Amino acid sequence: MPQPLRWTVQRTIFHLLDEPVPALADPFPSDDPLPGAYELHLPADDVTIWYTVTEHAALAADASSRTAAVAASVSRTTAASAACLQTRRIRSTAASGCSPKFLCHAAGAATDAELPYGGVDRLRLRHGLGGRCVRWLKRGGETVPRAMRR
Amino acid sequence: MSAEASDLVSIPRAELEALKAELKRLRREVGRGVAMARIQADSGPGDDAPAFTREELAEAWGIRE
Repeated sequence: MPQPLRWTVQRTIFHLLDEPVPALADPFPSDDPLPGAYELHLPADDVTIWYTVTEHAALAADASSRTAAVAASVSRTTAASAACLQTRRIRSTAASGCSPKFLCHAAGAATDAELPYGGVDRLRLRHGLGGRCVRWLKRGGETVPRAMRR
Repeated sequence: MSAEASDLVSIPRAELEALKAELKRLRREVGRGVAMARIQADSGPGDDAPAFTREELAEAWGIRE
């Protein structure tokens, strides 16, 4: 996936974590929507993101906090490239005073995902994320990335 | 890129644009199918998924707000 497209998708997903259902998002599929599933088309970038948002009971110690998950498939119609990313956020309650946390892992790849692992490895090294980071997977690379295995 | 004259065809621009639009529509339709399969098969991130603060994720992705 071209780097500019990856940036576009990452920025979009980052904002989806704060606003999971923006006005431009349509329920997906349109004829019989799945729970929490949306399609977001970005015409300026010719990119479509399909994603799901799910709420969970607290995983954190704070029982009153909630989690929101965003799982996204991405497709660019002009480049026929796609990738999949899954991100989960623990949304702390205002009363807790804690900073929001994002739980992240990549799901499998969708069609024609082309991102090499190298980009993520650079992130891990540069930012010192302890070998755990968001990854984009190649097509057919639906196995758990080595850096995320225990 | 070069092509032999015998490999070239001429079509009206309107037809070219229509074909491009149809290609986009078909690719998006394929994307919908892939997304549907993925949504239905996805079990969600495990509880041991790595955690980032908002700032860490923004830094990891190179996002400046």
